Amino acid sequence: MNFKRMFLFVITCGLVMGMFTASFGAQKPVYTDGIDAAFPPFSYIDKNGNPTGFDVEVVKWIAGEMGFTVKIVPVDWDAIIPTLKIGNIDLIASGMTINPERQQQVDFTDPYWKINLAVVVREVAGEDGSLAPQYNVFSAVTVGMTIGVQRGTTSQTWLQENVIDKGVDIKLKLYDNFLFAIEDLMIGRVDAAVIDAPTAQTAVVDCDATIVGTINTGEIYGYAVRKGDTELLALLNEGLKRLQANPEWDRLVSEWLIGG
Amino acid sequence: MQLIRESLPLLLRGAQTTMLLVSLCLMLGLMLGVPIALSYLYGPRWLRPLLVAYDRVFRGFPALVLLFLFYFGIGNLPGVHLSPLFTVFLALGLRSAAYQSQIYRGSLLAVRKGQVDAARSLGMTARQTIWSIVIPQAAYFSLPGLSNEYSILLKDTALAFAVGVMELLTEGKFIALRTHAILPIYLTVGVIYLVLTYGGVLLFWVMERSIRIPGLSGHSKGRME
Repeated sequence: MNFKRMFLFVITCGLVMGMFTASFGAQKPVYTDGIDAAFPPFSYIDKNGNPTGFDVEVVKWIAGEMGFTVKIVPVDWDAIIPTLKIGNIDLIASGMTINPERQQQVDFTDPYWKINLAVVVREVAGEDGSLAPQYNVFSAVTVGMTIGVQRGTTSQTWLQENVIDKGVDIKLKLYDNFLFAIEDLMIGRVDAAVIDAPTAQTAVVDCDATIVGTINTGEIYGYAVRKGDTELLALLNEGLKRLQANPEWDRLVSEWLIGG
Repeated sequence: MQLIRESLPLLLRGAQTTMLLVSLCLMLGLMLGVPIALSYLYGPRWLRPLLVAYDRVFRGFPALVLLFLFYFGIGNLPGVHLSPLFTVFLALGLRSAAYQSQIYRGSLLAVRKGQVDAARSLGMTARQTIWSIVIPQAAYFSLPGLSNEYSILLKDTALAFAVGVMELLTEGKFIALRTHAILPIYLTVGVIYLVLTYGGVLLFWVMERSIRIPGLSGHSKGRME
């Protein structure tokens, strides 16, 4: 039967495709940096559709200094560590807190920034018409409140371990992006939102929300690479060291983290 | 308005990726769907269970599960490296092949038996009958189904963000998050999807009109719905 030939053809197609697949992107002269593209001021997509932010600029500087090319791709925060592990990205430079759970899965560079968690609430008009925070930091994180956090962040784990597990009945509402939590806060579906302080500062700039307090977690950020990728880890650590000794570091810090 | 005008280039860039994905997936679906349908109907018996299994998996698993299976499962096998765009192409393309094979199977079955009998009585071989009589008519019958598949696939490509492809919805999401202008941006995204959907559907309809078979496609009032 001639159909036999057709089946052979189909099978051959499959094989060719398989080989194509295997060779697709196998050789990488560049390192790919995965970012959470909605995590200002560390990493986000700017008005022209290009990735930018403190971490993005730092990694670009390091790439220039250490002589490699870096390609920046947005990845869902939820999936960012699995994506690193399967090799579709080579590093994560996107405001990632170094913690033991993550250290079991990835290797971190030396820490480069220290942050606390911020509690954000809505601003409501008082009797005199001026805007004032709806809750203070204590009344925001207490029994019966619903708090919005980004899924897979230290805000989620901190609230779980230090509030919910201790018997305080708050509800967590999980979002793919912290900025969605802010949107929901403005609509009134959550009473407060918790996230890394620099991100919270950026997020409340142009909406009626404010930071009413911080939770002093003293978390440290680092860049993550695949376990055992000592080559890239050394490159990043050396690059970070050189950048921090360079006036450019202060410029980036004041542009993205303090001034902006 | 100003904001929408500013965002349009980015959204259109996303729409390009979306359209690229849709056309590639449809093509993969066509390339595999036709042989699958033909093999199912006319191929050897031992092949059927395999085809049924393929069909069950790719039509039975949610698209997102398929995407993750390919990206984190197959993409994690030693020696295999799937780029995000290629993963979406494979997963949604193979899925579309399963759906399309059903469209083609239905279309092949819709060709009236009298047509086959007539061809055979004229001395055409089985192969000639399939290629010259059955397939051209089935191709015509399959267009409405394909147009449907296109419009569904178009929106399924929005799942591509899960593995980091910057398509239309993703671009829109980032703009909406950056500007807090959720409503206008998502409305614009919706309108772009709508235009792409009906643009494509119209194309299929024009195709359908142009390959109408006189005498066979009698119900010429088959208006586009």
